[in-house]
Amino acid sequence: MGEPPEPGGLRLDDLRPEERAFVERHALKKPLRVRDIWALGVGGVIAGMYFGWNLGLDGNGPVAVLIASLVICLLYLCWVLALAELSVALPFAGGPLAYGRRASGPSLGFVMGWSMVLECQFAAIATVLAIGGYIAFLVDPDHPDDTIKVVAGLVTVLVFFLLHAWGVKEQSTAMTLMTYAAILGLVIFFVAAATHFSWRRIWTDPLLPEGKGWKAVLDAVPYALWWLVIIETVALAAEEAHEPHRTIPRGIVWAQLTLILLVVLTWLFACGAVDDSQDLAKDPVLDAQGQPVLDEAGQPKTEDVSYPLAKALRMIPAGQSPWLVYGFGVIALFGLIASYHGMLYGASRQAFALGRAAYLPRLLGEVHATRRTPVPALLVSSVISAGFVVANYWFKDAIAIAVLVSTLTALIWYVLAMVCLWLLRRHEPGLFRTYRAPLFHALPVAVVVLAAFALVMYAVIQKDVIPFTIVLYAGALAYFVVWARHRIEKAAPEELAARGKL
Amino acid sequence: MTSPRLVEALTITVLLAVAVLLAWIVAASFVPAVASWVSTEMAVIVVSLMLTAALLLVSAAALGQTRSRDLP
Repeated sequence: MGEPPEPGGLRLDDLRPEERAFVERHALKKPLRVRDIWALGVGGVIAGMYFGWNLGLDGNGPVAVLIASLVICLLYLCWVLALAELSVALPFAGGPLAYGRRASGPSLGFVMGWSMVLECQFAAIATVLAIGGYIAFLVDPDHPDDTIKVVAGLVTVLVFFLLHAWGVKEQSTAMTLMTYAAILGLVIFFVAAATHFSWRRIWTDPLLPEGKGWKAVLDAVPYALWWLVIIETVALAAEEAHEPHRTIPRGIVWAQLTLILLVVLTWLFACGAVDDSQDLAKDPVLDAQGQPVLDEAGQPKTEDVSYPLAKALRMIPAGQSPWLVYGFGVIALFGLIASYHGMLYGASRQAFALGRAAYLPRLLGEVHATRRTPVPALLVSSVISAGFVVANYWFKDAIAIAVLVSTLTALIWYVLAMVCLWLLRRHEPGLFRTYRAPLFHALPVAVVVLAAFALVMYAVIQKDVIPFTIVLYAGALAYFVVWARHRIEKAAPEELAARGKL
Repeated sequence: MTSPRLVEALTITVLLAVAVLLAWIVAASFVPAVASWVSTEMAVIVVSLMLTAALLLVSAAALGQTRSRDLP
């Protein structure tokens, strides 16, 4: 029996010389194994435990957040299984681009790829802002300074641009270590919060806020998405995975189960430790004298809390120990940094794939001559993140907006990816011979139903982010239709795969 | 019916029940009268248990699918 082709069918011998040269010149290394994939999955998402989900507590309460979180955990469990099937079948750095391109054509491929660029880019922005918030909290827990937030965010962006540019194996090792540290940080939080835990803070009376009822669950859904969004960056690692048909399904399933356990425990101990869970969502804005700032209606101004677990620790008796607060704060940074790492990986790899195939400017598709890392895509992603870090100095709702745009664009491509899975299973069943997810037809249907449930809430409740998101799509689509559509690089792996050559 | 098939059939049944519950949550959010025939406590318990059951069953099906002997 001959050696099986690479998943996706890579056969370099079948290519024309110029196609073979292009593929070899733009090839990535394949060093990632199950533990690396697990770490990429957990590490990329673990920031979701440290901030973002807490914004859903505002006006909704812990029970609504729990139900919304369980719905989202189910969505993501189904989603990663379906994604594993797609990513093993088409193991390219341009995951969604490759799925859409092969299932339908360049237009769907571009929309899906662009959606993932936006998802990862805005997730990276939100996370680097939160890193600044945690560092500012560590420097002065009572009055976190905005300048420190900005400087810390910019330093993080610079350091991780350099680390990613250095090499994927090196950043994968760093990611694994930081993921362990981030889980340790959560365990420390669970133990400390358990010393002040009460079921009555969770099983509130009334269970769901009066006047809102079950609508509180829907309100919490967009923020609950933040628990687990970005797990799909693992799919982009398929091109860099050793034996992707083994490593991707195992790594992604174990990562998802680890995360679901962490979601439930984080919610339980954070909400059960503080007297009023609303305090974990909003902080009053104070002036230089420490007095509350009032808005035009005479109500106290508030801002999003970007360090909820550190704040929860600070509010309980065990948190009066500076060692615990500062120790936890430092370890929490590992979680945020690990996730920023994964988000930068996702944003840069997707931009790289779109550039390599000339859907976006070709410069984005270049790799470093010796390190084989996509330096231009990394640079552009890092510069955009840095711009938002600076803008956040004046624009206080940046974290909430970034979280909502990231989760909205994620849901859009989840639904489109299920359409691709359905089309590819129907028209090219041979693609899925090395790995097939359980539940067959029920799995993509479950993803679509659960994602539609979450998407409806944007149209009804979180309408503010829709115009901004439409502008982001309209600009990119205009570039694609007017310029890129006629200049697509036919030797790019996603294009060769779509023509059945890979 | 073999054990994996049984787990998959049970999982699909529970996922269908979850879909019905999600539709009920949306309805109860905009037409509160829909939720008036059952206490909030009971509804929260049923919804939470059903979602937990779905998570456990999908996890069991997923782990069964990643065993070494099932992969080429």
